[in-house]
Amino acid sequence: MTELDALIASLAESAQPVRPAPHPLRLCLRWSAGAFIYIALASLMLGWRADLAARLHSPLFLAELGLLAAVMVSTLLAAALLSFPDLHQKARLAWLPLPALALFAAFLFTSFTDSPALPPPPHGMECLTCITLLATAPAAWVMHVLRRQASTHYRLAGSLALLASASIGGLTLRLSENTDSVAHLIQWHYLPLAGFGVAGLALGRKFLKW
Amino acid sequence: MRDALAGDKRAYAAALEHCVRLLRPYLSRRVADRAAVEDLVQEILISVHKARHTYDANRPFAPWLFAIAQYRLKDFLRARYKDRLHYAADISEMEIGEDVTESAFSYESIKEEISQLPEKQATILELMHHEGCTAKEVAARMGMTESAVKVSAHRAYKILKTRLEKP
Repeated sequence: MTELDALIASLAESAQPVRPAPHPLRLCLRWSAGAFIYIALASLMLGWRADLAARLHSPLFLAELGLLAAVMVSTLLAAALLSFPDLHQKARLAWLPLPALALFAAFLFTSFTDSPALPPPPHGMECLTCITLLATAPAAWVMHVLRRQASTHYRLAGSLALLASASIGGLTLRLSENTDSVAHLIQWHYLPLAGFGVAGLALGRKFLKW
Repeated sequence: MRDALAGDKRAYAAALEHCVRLLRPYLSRRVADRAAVEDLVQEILISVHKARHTYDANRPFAPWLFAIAQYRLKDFLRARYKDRLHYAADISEMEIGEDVTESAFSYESIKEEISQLPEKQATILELMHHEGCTAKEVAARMGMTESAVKVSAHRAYKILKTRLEKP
C-alpha cells in the first residue's frame, strides 16, 4: 500500500457525516439581520440623537444611511462568498462592494462640495474610538464564522469583514452623534474605513489562513 | 461526493481517489519534480478533508477541488521559490538525466537551446556562464536587481531542464 493509499484509507476511516456550511446568501442575511439588531440596540444604549426624528425626513441623511447600509451588506455578502474556496461559484457577486463604495464616496464628495461648511464638533478621535469599539463585537462574530469556513482569499475576506464591522460602527454612531459636518464625518467616520480594510488584510492572514 | 458528505466511507474513499486522478495531471504540468507532485496531492487531499463541509453537492465538484488545489499550489511555489532564490543552481549542477556524465553539459554544448530562450534569460545565462559574471555584475550591466537576475536565471534553468529531458 503506498503512502497515498494509506492516507486515503485513513481519511475515509475518519470521515463522519458533515453539517454543510450555510449558503453564502443565508450567511449574509444572518449577519445583516444581526447587524441591524445590534445597531438598534447599541444606538439605544448610546442614546438617539436629539434631532433624529427631523433628520429621518431629510433625503440626504437617509441617502447617507442607505448607502452606508449598502456598503455593510455588500461587504458582508462578499465576505460570505470569499469564505468558500470556490466563492460558491458566484465570483461576480464578490465584486459588489466596489460599486457600493464608489457610490458612497461619490455621495460624500458631492455633499462636501455642495453643502455649506458646517463647523465641525470639537471632538474627533472620540468618534474613531467609538466606531472601533462598536465594530469589535461584529468583527469578532464575522471572523469567528469565517474561521470555520475555508477561505482561499483569507486576506480579502478579513479586510471585508472589518470593513463591514466598521460600517456597522459608523451607522450606529450616525444615529447617536448630533453632528452633520461633512468634513468631520469624512475625516473621523468614513476615511478610517480604509484603515479598517488594511487592518483586516493582516487579521485575515493571521486568523483565516488554513 | 454527496454520499461521502453523508458519512459513506466507501464513497468518500472513491471520491478521494477521483480527486487524485484529477490532481496528478494538473500538478504535473506545473511542477516538474514528481516527488513534490505526490506531496502536493497528499496535502490537497488533507485540505479537501478539512474543507469538505464547504462543498455544496448541488454545484460542480471540479471548480471547488481546483480552487483548493490552486491554493495549496501557490503556497508550495511561494515556499519553493523563496528557497531557490538562495540556492540558484549552476548549469553544471543540473541533473539532466541518468546517463549524462558530469562533463557532458557545458554552456557551449547547449548554446542552441539557450538561444531559444527569451532574450533576457538568454543574455543572463550568456553573461553568467560564458563571460563568467556574478549575479551582481549581471544585475549592474542589465539594470536589474540581483534577486531578479537570480529568479530569471532559475526560470531559464527550469525551461532548459524540461527541454533537455524530452526524448
